[in-house]
Amino acid sequence: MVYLSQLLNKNIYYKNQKIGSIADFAVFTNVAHPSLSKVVIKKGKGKKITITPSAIDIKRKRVTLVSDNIPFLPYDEKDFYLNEDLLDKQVIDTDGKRLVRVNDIMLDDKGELKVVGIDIGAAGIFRRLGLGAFIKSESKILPWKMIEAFDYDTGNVRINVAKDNLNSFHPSEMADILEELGTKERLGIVETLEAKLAARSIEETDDRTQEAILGELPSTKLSKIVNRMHIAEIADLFYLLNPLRINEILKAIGTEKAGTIKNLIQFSNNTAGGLMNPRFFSFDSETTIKEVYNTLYERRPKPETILVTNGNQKLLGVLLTKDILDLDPLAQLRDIVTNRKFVYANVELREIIRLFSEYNLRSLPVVDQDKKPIGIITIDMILAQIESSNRDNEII
Amino acid sequence: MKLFKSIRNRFLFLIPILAIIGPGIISGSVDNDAGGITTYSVAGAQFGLNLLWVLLLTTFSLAITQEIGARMGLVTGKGLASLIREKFGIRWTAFTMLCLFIANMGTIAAEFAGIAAAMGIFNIPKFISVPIAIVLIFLLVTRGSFGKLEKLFLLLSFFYVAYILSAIIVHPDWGTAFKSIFVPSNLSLNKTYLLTLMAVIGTTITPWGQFFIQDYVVDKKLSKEDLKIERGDVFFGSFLTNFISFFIIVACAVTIFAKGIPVNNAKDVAVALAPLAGNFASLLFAFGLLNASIFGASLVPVATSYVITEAFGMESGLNFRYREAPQFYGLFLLLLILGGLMVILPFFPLLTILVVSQAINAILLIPIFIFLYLLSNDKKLLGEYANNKLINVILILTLIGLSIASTIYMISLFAPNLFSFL
Repeated sequence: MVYLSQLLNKNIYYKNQKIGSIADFAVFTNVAHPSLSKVVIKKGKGKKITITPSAIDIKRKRVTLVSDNIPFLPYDEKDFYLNEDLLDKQVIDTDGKRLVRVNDIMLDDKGELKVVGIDIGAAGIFRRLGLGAFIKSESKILPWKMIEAFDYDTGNVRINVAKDNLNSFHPSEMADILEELGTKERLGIVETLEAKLAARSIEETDDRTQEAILGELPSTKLSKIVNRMHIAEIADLFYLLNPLRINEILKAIGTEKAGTIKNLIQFSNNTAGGLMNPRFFSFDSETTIKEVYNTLYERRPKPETILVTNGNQKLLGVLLTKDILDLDPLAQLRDIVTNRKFVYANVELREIIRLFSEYNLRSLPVVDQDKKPIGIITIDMILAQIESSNRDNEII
Repeated sequence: MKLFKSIRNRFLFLIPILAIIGPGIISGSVDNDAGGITTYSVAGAQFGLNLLWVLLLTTFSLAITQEIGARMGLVTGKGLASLIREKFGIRWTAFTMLCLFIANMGTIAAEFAGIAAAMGIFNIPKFISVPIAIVLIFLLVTRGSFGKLEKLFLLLSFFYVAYILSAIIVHPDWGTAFKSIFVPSNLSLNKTYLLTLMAVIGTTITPWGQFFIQDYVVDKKLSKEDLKIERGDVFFGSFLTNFISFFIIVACAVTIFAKGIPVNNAKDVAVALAPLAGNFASLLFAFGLLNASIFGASLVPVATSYVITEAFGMESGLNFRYREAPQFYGLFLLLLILGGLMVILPFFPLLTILVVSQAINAILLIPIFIFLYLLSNDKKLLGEYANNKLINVILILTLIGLSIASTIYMISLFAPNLFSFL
């Protein structure tokens, strides 16, 4: 085994004459043990040539050129370079689901040089500082197929051995990574992810990260992602984003959803109106259980909660779908409803939390002045609010 | 109800602005920490209004370098240490971190010296005040939430008004003071003068402040759209810090310098102010010093530990538990304890630590600003947000000024006789 840091800047000889020194290696990225595709050689000040790896011979202490008649390859920015794009950069450890920094790169030198993985341990740091002989510490090697790296210039995701590595992340794990990454890399990841996971992950990040991502995504990807986001989440961003961007988003999601958003943004973030999901199921109080079954039969996903309204569309109460399963199919909803708690749109978060906790609620309808339902708040929304307000306190 | 709602909606546009301001003002205020206040008051007490011209120059330099830091943070979403690591590799990173560690060790010691001095005015010995401060600060920073801490720090920034008040109380000649900002007088190559001059520069523009502003902007997730407001924030912060420095120097110049009283540290200044300006001014001064020292002693160690552990790719930040980020918390505690020890142990002279550490800050700024120059002109990194000509001119002038001042200072330190013919 040999480390990249031991090869970089090594002199290359041809017939005992110094030709130049090793500056970088390009690799074929999308295999588990990538071999080198190009060798970049530094010849004096600022002058670089690129050749094929088979033209050099690396033996323990000495690198030699096998022939003096070697065709030059073009230096292509789009190639993936170990020194320029990987060493010292942040990469995603897809196994540990976290960001790590590349301290060194391990290569297999039995036969053709092949990359094994990256060293993220302290040993890599000490080796490169020339202290490896004095300070003993362990190397932590991450295999190549378990990392996702970025192009240094563009931030695009470059290594993609197991295609679905990133798409197997849970949205909240992905959100943590999105929050920590640099601007370009963040956009690079979002562009790689499937639209649905991207939308969920963005929703899980804090407001400022959401703003940073949605503010800069290219238009085509933007419309795919916002179409899969919850309307309430987009409404939260309304005043954070630049008005031109907002118009673009509203256009992308269509007039119906855009109308809902315009209704939602009247309410401040920390009130029932700002929190609620404006999509809900409501049934007239005279509907029978059997009729409810029939309506819900084809619905996917099934709602957890249904609202019950009287003849004037006014809210009567709320039912959990699991609670109606074992009831008489002919019973009317008005005879079953017991939970009649609701809030007006201007009620503040603190009060809503109190209601949830005091009455052990799982969901709470939001109504307008005429007591007509306009949305619903569920317990997971409350949890998310509490979590995000806790997180605001931990910046550094 | 309806009226209230419509008024509230009208002010919703303010929310993003309020979320953005803060980094520049906090970063600027912390520049007036214990080392800063001591340096400025010693500068005023020993050289009167003669060093005010330096403040004018450092205001521009500070504003520009802070703006660059904020801009790089906004555009790349990465801290300065990360950018240095990614662009220049691990050796330069290690070198920069060593510079930062040395400079900040001095600064932290200076903060504790400030706490010791301020409590000394109330007759509390440093053997008691410093250990208590270490424990309190460790708990405040690790147990308190950052959101509350940030609000506390913004609030503490307002207490710097104490210095403006103490200057107004002593009735200076504002005309002369104002003129001294623009017209340097009594320039000298004397060793103390040069040391104080270097310290004034090094306390205003600091290596750690450069890392701090950028990390802060990154952590707040500010984006390019916020650049205008953030610029205003850092410019205002830079102006504010030197605005207050001006009053400190003036207060000491018209009282202590005018009467020719010898002073060695901020405590001497506070004590000397009492008979000249009344007990109130003296108390205000002591209170301001204590406030500034606690402010600095809370922020500098944690920020240093954050930058260094992050540069080497270790878990870093207060949202990790002790066990998850042992290096981060370990280094933080080490910095606090070493800083405190340097103040408690009798063989470290307080004043020398305070002023010399500021001068070292100024020297260590040179390599950091060279990186800053290279990175902020990197079109691949910043694109259209790379430096414009004006900013480059000011940055280069700052570098030249720093280099000349450092060289002269070093010569006066090691070969004091060289200037004797002048």
